[in-house]
Amino acid sequence: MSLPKRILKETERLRNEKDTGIKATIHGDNLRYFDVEINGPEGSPYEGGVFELELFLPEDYPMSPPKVRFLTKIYHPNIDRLGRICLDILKNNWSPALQIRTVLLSIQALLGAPNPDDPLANDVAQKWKEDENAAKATARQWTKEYAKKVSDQKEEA
Amino acid sequence: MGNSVGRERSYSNPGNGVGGSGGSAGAGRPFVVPASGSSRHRHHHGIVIGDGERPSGNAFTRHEQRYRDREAREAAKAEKERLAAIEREKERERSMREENVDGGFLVTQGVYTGAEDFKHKIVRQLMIERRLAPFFKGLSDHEDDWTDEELIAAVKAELGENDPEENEKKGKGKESTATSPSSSTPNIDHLTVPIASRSRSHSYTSDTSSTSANSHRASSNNPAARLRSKTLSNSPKVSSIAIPTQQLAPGEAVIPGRQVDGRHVWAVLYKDALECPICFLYYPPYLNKTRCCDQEICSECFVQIKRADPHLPDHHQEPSTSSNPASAPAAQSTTGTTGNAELLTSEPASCPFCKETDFGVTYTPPPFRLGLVLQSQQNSPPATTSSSPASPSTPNVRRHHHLPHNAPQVVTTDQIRPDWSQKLAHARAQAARRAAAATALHTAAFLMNSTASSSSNPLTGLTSSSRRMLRRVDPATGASSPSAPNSGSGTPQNGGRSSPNPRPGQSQELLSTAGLQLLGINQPRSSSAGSGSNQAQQVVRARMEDLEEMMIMEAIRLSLAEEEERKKREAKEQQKKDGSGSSGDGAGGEGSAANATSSGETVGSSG
Repeated sequence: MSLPKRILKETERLRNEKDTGIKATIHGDNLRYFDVEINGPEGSPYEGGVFELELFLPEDYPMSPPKVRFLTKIYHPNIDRLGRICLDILKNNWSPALQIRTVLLSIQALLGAPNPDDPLANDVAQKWKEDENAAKATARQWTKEYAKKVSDQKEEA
Repeated sequence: MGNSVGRERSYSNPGNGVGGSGGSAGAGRPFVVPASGSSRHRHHHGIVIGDGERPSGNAFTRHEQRYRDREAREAAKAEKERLAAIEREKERERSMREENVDGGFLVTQGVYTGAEDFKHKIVRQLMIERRLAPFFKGLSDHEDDWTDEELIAAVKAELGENDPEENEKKGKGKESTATSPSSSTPNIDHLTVPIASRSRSHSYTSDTSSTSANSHRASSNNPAARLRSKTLSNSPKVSSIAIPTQQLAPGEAVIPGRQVDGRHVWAVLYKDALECPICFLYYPPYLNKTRCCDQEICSECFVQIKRADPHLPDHHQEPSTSSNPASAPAAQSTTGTTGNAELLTSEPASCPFCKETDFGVTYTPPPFRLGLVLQSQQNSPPATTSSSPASPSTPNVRRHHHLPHNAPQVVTTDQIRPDWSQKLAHARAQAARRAAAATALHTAAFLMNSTASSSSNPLTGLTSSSRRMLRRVDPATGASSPSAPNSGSGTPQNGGRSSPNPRPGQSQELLSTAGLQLLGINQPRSSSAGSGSNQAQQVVRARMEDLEEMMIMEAIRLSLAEEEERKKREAKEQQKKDGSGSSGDGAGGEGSAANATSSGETVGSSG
């Protein structure tokens, strides 16, 4: 099974992606499986944290969306405790014109703009609606506790 | 939601439903079990005791047989598909070898590897009509400053063994493959790019004499080709497209050759190549444009885009990924499930770029014509074949308005998959069938749940009256009066999960009535069991239209019955432990097991 040129090209272009706070590198020798790192957006409770995700390109990518999941524990109304993400473009609003890069940027944007009215993690969404400040404090707490620090990431690089 | 998803799954696949519950369903397929007393005894033995065990041999063999039949059917189907695939592959090779449209191809070039579900004939026709871009070979790389030779070499490298020119020459032009497009000095150009038209055609003229004769014959019928060969007469090119004219479909014609204004068609085409934004390959600047937002999209990607499979309207998220019970449509009731079949929809594909619905594209062909054309188009090309060299750069004129999806020049995704409506109808029919089976299951489950604590028998509404009728003649129960069918002393009275029911007869009666009412029958308490049974069977017939449904339902019902038996036995054993076992219990167990069997016979025969 040969790998579509598009995947090779996307991988190549992602490698040159430097300053957007997203990083995707091929995991092992499976060229469809990526280790992803997303920096929490500034001004959000996730700021300063580096979140790890896994991304898999199914056989019929780009005609069907990549499968993405948070590996780092995160307190967010649209991300459940298994790390699954409620994001329309990962489901029925997928378009083959989207790419790994745009998907990751969308996920980053979701961190900056949680949507508790369309929840995946019910308890979190409930908290978010009842007492947003408390919920954000928890999110900050979790970020500190579970996410890698941006400074650590810089040291690695 | 998890709950209802699980349930949905269990009847979404009838095959698995029957096979999956193997032990119970197989053993319980009563209509294949001889009804003689002894075998029936053995059979009910299997039900009563064989919880989770192998079903009785006879039923098992039949079950196995059915399974094998299905397997054989599937194997035959797979074989048929395999042959079709081989046929398709042959056709593809022939087309690659012999056919082209303006330097592009009429078959996909392998960018996508999944099954092709568009209508090949329609796509082919649209391409010959120049309404859809042909399948040009996509290039992985492209530089604006590549020379003609480098461009040609790049296309050839992508085509590999599929290169029609190479095939014609029986692979004698090996040296062309050595070219690396990026490493070009004039010297290397000369040595390693033999495709550069003159040297190549010179060296291979003798090899291809037959094909050129062939094409001369073709061109003599073809004013366009004659004109072209005249203009190129001082450079004796090999017209490498040689389609025997008799293979052409009526109305089609061929303009042979690979030259446009003395340059190789690929050099002309790929000079200002564009990257398709979906497959990231480089194509000639004659790509399809979306009708809505004027974006380029290659044909290879276009034919991949289609309607989503039939689905229920607008769930903002898929149930399978939702762990949120609140987002589930209020607990799928029986009626809800039934209604869903009609609700199934399938929207036209939307534009991948701007999300406009009714995705469609237009195509502006290059100013020259090569390869297959419609006979009616044949007279126009000569003028353009020798047209001004500037022409390749002109097609990029941007359209400033968007076209409606029903504009005549627009090709939509539905046009190349005209079977979408049929698929939708099929999906609806299937959903309706599933819903019918689901209704039965829900009915049974409802009855069992609502009466499990008070009643010993999980009658499934649908067959309750026939069971009652049969019960009359069942020696084990000793029940003889149709009006009081459950007065039999043998009916276990303590089958409830927790407490023994003080008035089992009455609850049984209520249950039967409830079952019939659930089917929309108002059964007067005074009516005889016989007429009730007829009514019920009519309802059964009306509702269950084919045998398959019956069998699925029967399997479901029997597994429910068996579950109830198990509970009963547990309770009995519990009672025995308590030291209060009685002979009545034993008879009761036997009686209801026999009922399960005989009622199954009734259902089976009515199908």
